[in-house]
Amino acid sequence: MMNTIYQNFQLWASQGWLPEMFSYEFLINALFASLMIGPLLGLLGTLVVVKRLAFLSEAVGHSVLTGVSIGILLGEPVNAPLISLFSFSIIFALLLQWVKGRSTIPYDALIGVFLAFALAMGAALLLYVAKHVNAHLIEQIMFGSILVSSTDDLLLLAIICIAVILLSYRYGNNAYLVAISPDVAHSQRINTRVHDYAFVTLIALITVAAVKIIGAILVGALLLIPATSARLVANNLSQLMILSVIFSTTASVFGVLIPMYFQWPVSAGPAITLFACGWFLICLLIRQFRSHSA
Amino acid sequence: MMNLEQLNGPQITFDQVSLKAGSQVLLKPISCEFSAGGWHAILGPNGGGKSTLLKTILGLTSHHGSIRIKWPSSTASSDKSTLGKIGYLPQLMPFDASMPISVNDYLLMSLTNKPVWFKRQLPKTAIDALKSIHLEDKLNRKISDLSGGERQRLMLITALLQNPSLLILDEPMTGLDKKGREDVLHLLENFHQAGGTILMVEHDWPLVQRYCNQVYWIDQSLQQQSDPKTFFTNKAASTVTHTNIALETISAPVQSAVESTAEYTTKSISLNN
Repeated sequence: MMNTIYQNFQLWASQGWLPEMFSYEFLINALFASLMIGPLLGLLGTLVVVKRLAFLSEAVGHSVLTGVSIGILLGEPVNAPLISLFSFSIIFALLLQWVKGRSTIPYDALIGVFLAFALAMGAALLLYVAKHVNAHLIEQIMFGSILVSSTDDLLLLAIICIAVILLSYRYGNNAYLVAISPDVAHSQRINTRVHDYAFVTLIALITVAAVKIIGAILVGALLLIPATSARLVANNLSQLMILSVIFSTTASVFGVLIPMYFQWPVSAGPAITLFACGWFLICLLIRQFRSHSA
Repeated sequence: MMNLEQLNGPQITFDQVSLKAGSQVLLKPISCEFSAGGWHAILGPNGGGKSTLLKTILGLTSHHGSIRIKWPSSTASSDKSTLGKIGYLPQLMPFDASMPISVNDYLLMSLTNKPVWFKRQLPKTAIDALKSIHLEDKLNRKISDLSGGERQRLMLITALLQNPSLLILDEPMTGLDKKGREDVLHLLENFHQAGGTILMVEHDWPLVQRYCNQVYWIDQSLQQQSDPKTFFTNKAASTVTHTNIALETISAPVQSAVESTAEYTTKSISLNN
């Protein structure tokens, strides 16, 4: 199926309707990946913001560094050390949630500790591994690259996408209620513990799926920035979600296409993040304007 | 106004229920019974464990001992829909001012399973309920823009819209003005008369005396349980006694102040009889 799509794009490119860069398969892959990552991260980002877990996504993102290094050390293929990656990130996220439930340490301090650990361990292992494997590996893993998405990655993303959409349709309301008022949700027989664990697991899954394009350092940013920007201008939950998805999707797509088009030597991760920050700035200005004219 | 069919509130039984946080004892073993359909008031000093008691009933704490909620079994259709449903009103907490959650959103997410961002229409029962507490024009306002009293009324009405037969309320009168109190008491009275069970932490003694069936004095343990009249007469008597004993040793201005307080206490009790 992808081959037909590639051929179509190549056709349009050769006919001059689309820029020439669209005749490259890797770009088409990256484009489709960003079209899936954008909405996913925008959607889950709203929950991150309502639950006030801004740094959770950062911590999980950084845990990817360690996961990749362990995977490569264990002999998995460099481009797709999937098993270690997923296992480590999910275990990391679950451990974080478990410690949180068992102690009275404030969440931000706890995440800080886990984040530092993930980054330090990841950096140490990665530097060691990269010397033996590939000099560009560090850059790719940390900041993402549009060169490395394969059709398998797209399939994985698509599966996660569908899963998240189904889950949010059925449990979305409950999830927001748990985020706003856990005690009231509990009294309505909603299993708040399952929700919390499921949420961090989803964050871990999506982080891993998005890390190839955006990179471990900044993937948390794309969970945070679009939703935070939307929060500045939204008046209800519906607006929050729609705006967050629009911001994150446009940021992802622009971040992939524009550096390529202008041939800037910028990694995808920083480019996407900067576009997301652009939205934040715009929303900030809108809000300022509103409060002055109100 | 909400039309309450016959509710059959549950009876709640405590059997040696105690709670610790680390080495600190929050509640010493309590054994008591909250009768079905009663309006029970839980009184006590601050920090004595009243909110903790409510949370224990809801299963929000890990306690020793057992709590049994006996939902009445019945074949009436109205009972089936209210069976096992609890309406909980937690203590009024500050709300994050930047959360873009509107009143409409909050009601929708509590009442339906269809995602809030699709279905935007509230069922008629919800709109009528909002009218009964005079919040129908605040539907599109953010929750953070509401005043404390308005938020309190919203939370209560959301709890009632779940069609519960048990209400657990933690200081429901906080932040309410006179009109708000009237609205809320009206709703609670309807609920009570329909047969629901209410457990309410309150600090307003005249209110408790007027509306409640049973008073429980909680100060780390259940120190007293009686009907309101007995309870308040005893309380007033003990206050006056203590005051009389102290009078011998304090100065004149303070003495008259204390005497007038004692007088006020006995007067208010007799007025409400």
